[in-house]
This record gives sequence, C-alpha cells and structure tokens, in this order.
Amino acid sequence: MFPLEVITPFIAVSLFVELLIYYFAEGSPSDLRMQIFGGLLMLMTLFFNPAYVISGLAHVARSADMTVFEASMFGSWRDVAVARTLSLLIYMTPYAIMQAVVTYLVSSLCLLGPYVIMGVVLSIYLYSGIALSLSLIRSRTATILTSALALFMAPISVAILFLNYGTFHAKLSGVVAVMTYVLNPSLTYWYAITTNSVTVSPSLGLMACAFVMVAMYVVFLKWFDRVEIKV
Amino acid sequence: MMLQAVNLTKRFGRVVALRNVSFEADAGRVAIIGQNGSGKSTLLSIMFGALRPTEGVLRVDGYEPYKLRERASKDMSIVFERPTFDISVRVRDVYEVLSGYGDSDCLSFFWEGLGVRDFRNTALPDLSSGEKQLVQLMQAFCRESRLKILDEPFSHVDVRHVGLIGDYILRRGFSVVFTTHVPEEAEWLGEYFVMLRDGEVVWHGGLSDLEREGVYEVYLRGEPPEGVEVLAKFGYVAIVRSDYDELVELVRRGRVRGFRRLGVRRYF
Repeated sequence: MFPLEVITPFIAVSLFVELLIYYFAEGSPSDLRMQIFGGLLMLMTLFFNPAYVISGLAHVARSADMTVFEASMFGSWRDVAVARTLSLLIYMTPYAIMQAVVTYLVSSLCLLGPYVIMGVVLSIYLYSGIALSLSLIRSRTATILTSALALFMAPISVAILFLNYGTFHAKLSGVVAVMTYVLNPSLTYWYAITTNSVTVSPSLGLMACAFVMVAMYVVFLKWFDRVEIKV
Repeated sequence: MMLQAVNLTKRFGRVVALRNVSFEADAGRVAIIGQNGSGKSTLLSIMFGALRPTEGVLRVDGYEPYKLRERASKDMSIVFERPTFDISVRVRDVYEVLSGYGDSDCLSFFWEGLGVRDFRNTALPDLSSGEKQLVQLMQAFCRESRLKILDEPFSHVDVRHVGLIGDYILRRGFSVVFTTHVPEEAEWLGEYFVMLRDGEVVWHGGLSDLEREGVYEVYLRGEPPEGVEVLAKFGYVAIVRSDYDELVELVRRGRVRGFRRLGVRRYF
C-alpha cells in the first residue's frame, strides 16, 4: 500500500493544479467555475477519498490470529480496538486537513459556505468508520476487497442518482435526500446549490452524516467486543 | 486455578466441535489431550473468551471468560499452534513492547536463553514455524497473566528448547492449560488431564487415576515380541498386559527398547 500513499496525493495535487489553472484563468465565468468545482468534488469523493481510506485500512486491518495475538500481548481487547481506531484516525487526519484546505480555497471563490468543507471532512471520517467495521472480516484480503467495493460504490451511486434526477429535473427529498447527504455530503451540497433540487437542508443532511459517522465508530467498538475468533 | 465445564457444546453450522463437555479441574497445570479435530483448539478459544459456547458453560476461577472478555484478556494469555502473522512487525519490536511491562526474568530467558535475540530483525510473517512459536511463547509467558493457555506449544519447537521451556514452566510455577497430542508431554507437565475425542470427553482425572496393575506401554524394536498380550498398538508403542519381571527380561534381551506404566495413551 506504500505506493498508493505516495501516488494518490501526487496525482491529486497534479490534477488539482490543472483544474485550478482553468479555475483561476482570467475571464472564467462563475458558472464554469462552479462546474469545475463540481468536477473536483467528484474526483475527490469518487476516487481519492476511497483510495486513501483503503490505504489507511491496509494499515490497521489484521488477520484473526494477529488480533488475538495483540489482545493476548496487551491484555485487553478494548485497547486493541481503540488503538486500531486511533491509528486510522491519525492516518486520515493529514489527508482530511489537506482536502479541507483545498476545498476552502476553491469554494471561497464560488462563494460557497462552510458546508462543503464540513461535508468533505465528514465524508472522509465516515468512510474510515465504515472501513474500520469491515476490518472485522477475518481475512485481511477480504477486508480490503470488500471495503474497496463499498467505499467506491457508495459515493458513485450518489453521482449516478444525481445524473438520473437531473435528467428528469426531479427533486430529491425525504429519506433519499438524507441518504445522499450521508453517502456523499459535499457532492450533495454542491448539487443542491447548483440545481436547487434537494429539499432537505444542508444542516440537517450534514447532521445526519455526522450521526452516522459517530455510529460507525460505536458499532466497530461494540462489534469488536463481540466478534468470535477461533484460534 | 479452577477450571469447570458443564455440558459445554460448540457448533459451527452443522459441525459440532464440542459436545456436552463436562469436567472440573482444580490444578495448576491442565493438559487437554486428543487427536487432530478432537476439539482442543475450540475449547481453548472459549477459555480465552474468543468464542462463545452454543450451549453449556465454561468457568475459569468462577467466571465465564466469554462474558467478561476484558477481564479474561487481563487474566490470561494465549499461544496458538499455527498463527498467521500479516503485519511487518519485527521480533525486536515485540520484545521492546513487552520490555515496558513484562517480566524481565522471563524476557531474559527467551531473549538470551532460547536465542530469540538471534532473529530479532526478522518480521513476524517471515519467521519459521518454530520461531513464531517462540515469539508467541515469549509474549504469553512474559506478559504478566494468571493463566497461560497454550495450544500445542511445542509442536514446532526444537527438542532441546522443549526441555528448557518445560523446566521453566515447572520452576516458575505458572498456571497453564495446554493441548497436545503427545502423551509423554501431557504426563510430563500435566497435573490434571482431559481426554477429547470427536468433541467429547472420553476421560478426565489425575495421573493416579490412570494407574492399573499389569498394563504397560512398551517401546518396540520392530514387531511386538511373541507371547506378550498386545491390547493396542500406536506405531512404536504398544500397550500390553504383562508383568514387570517379564518386561525387564525383554529389555535385557533387547526385544524391546523400554517400558513404563500405562498413562494417558490408554485413552487413545
């Protein structure tokens, strides 16, 4: 996973720079800037965030035997679970900060509020929480493959949903709107601003996302306490 | 240490790994004996709290470890037979972590005495099976815990190291529950024995409960000698009904290598 940790930010920075060149080009109209910003969010949420979360997961996922070894050596199942959680959060934080800064710089020129930044950060930690729960699958390889499937497909499904709704000029409301905020908060917020087709408020949507994010970590810690392992 | 199982049953789908296992052992060293697939590892996993029984209970010093997992992990440490280590932690990293809170005498015994230091720079996944077992034993013995649970602890260890480790267990007075399919290992270290076959207890008790006059284990040289009543045969070991003097004569004539009183092999 080491190359992924180097290549991912390198590609991200390269593409960001290229997009920013267009973005800051003189005479660039505001609606084009908004579209470019949407492209940035797509890239971030559909590719870079999941890839980075999976590289972090490779860091903390363990075989069942290794988990028991750690629990035996440290004399505590709980300490192992907490250490794994903190390890992943610490791994993800520099990336989350980088994404937040870039989003702030770009979104401020679109006159977008702080919601989009909150959405980017929440999304990173939400998917980290989901990946952590999936790490309880016994095989490390199965964990990474299942996580790749879940973490890539979930945000993509939101983009596909927007495409379909956009085609039919339909409004997104109720549970579906809340789910899109949970699965891809920043892209949903951007969609809401550009199309005015999401009836759920950003504050409610992001609160739901934050709630699910916290729940994921609680689920992981509780599930870790109950997981059965045969040595 | 008090170990108590009451109608302990564990199913994995349609496979019954343990069936109505019941015994009570009030001893410092308990040997769980049985062939491959007899349920030994499942019993140890339940004991450590890593598995929950389907039915029945298992108590270690009065509590059920799978219900109080955190307490169990503090009280017990575990070694398993064939671990899959999948992170690139080196042996010296394990040693350094244990040095922070472990038993220094024990660490010295493993590090210098058993030569774990010699492969300190090797990552756990790259260790040989014997080296992995030594690292696991180091972690289990040197982290201060009241009970050491050992699944086939000597199966991959050099013969000379087996002797050193066994003597260390006896000298330090560790409470251990260990599994083995080697009768001699069980009788050397065990004070109480639980014999499993196909997930069921076929016998449990102390060594004195095994004694039976006129039945011996004989170490063969080739075929069993004529005129000796063979009750069962396990490769080079035969269980025979005979008398002491006759067996001494057979040893003197070189017809057998040696003999001893029948032990746990009786239940194989």
